[in-house]
Amino acid sequence: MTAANQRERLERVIEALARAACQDYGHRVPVSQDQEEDDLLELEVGVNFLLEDLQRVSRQNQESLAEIERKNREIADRASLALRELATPIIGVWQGVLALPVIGAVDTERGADMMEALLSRVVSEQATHVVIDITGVSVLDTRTADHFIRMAKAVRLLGATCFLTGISPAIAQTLAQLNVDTSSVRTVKRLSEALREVFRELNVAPVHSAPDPR
Amino acid sequence: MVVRDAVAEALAAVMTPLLVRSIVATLPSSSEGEVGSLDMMAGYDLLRYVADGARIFSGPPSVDLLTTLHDLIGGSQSFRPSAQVLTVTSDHDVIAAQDAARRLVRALFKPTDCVRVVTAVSELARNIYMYAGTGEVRLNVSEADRTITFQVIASDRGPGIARLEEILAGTYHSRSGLGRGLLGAKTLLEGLEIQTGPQGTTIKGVKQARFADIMRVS
Repeated sequence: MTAANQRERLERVIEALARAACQDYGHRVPVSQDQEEDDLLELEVGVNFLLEDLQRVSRQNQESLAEIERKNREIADRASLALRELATPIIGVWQGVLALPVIGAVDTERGADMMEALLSRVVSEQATHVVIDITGVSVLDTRTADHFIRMAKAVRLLGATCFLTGISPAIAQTLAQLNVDTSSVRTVKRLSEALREVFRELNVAPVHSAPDPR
Repeated sequence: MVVRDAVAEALAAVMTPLLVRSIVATLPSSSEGEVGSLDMMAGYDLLRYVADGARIFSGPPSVDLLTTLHDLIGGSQSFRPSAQVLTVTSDHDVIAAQDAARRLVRALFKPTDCVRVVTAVSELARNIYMYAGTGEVRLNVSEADRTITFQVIASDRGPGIARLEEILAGTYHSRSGLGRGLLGAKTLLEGLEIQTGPQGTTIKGVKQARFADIMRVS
């Protein structure tokens, strides 16, 4: 095999990798039928297997993404009671501990539903701690921020402690600029830290103290 | 010249033909248009896409390269402005305005500034819905002299804003929160202009960024 031939084959491998890096997984390294077995062939075939896998996974990803998008639209389109309940799942994390992950835009109606559902769960489960996580909220204007603060205050009036977690750096900066007073709410960086705090207050020792998930 | 070829030409100066070909082969469909035909949204999306592709192979691209690319793709010094007009009559329209603003500035500003812009638009749209009932939010982005400008114009025919001076001085506190929303928009944007009277209210605000600054961060 000549050096020029080797160089050409290597370039074809690089081209396939370069295309893959640009998310074009459909390309394959051309391998001729009568290629004799050598180290390069192993590389070529290996790369093709890898690309095959990448293509499959990326197709699956796209399918799930499309599916998620479709479902999102469905949820947005319908404003039925059942769906609104689904949109604000309240999770019983532990006895007396509730978590409310908030995802997406919070309009007045959804905000009111959220408040209603949370407060009734606090009462019915005699919750002592509530963690509201807003990682999934991309924008907090004064009104939405007020809503969460009011929710935290209401929870406190019912005798439970309320944490607000998942405020992104961008939202934190914006809130500071908007002069929103968050002093009445216990804000914690991450959900996991809030839970650790809750367990400390409840005197529940985790069996293993797992490292903080990032 | 087609955008795709312009990109290839600019990249050819800094990377091997093989890599150029690979990046160009996967450009989004907006690259099939003629140079100078893209608006700000499509133009900057494409620019970011190429920058990301280039980064994989040769590290973060220089501002000079991106400037060259920008001018080549733009056909002259700038992309065409993009604009959006939204009618605000409900709570949902406030969220629609947020989404529209986010799409418009996503590729243009640093993430923090994007959140600022979207939040400000949300405040203005919400004020329309809450205090005037109906109105309109116009959003547009344009560029000149290597400076990107986002502008929002919120207008309504509502009763006008009473006690505007107190609101802007931060001494007025309404239970409904009007004061803080408007004051918030003023802090988040630059040079907020407010015209208000019994015939209605028009509020203009802008946010600007230097091309070099937004491209350095990405």
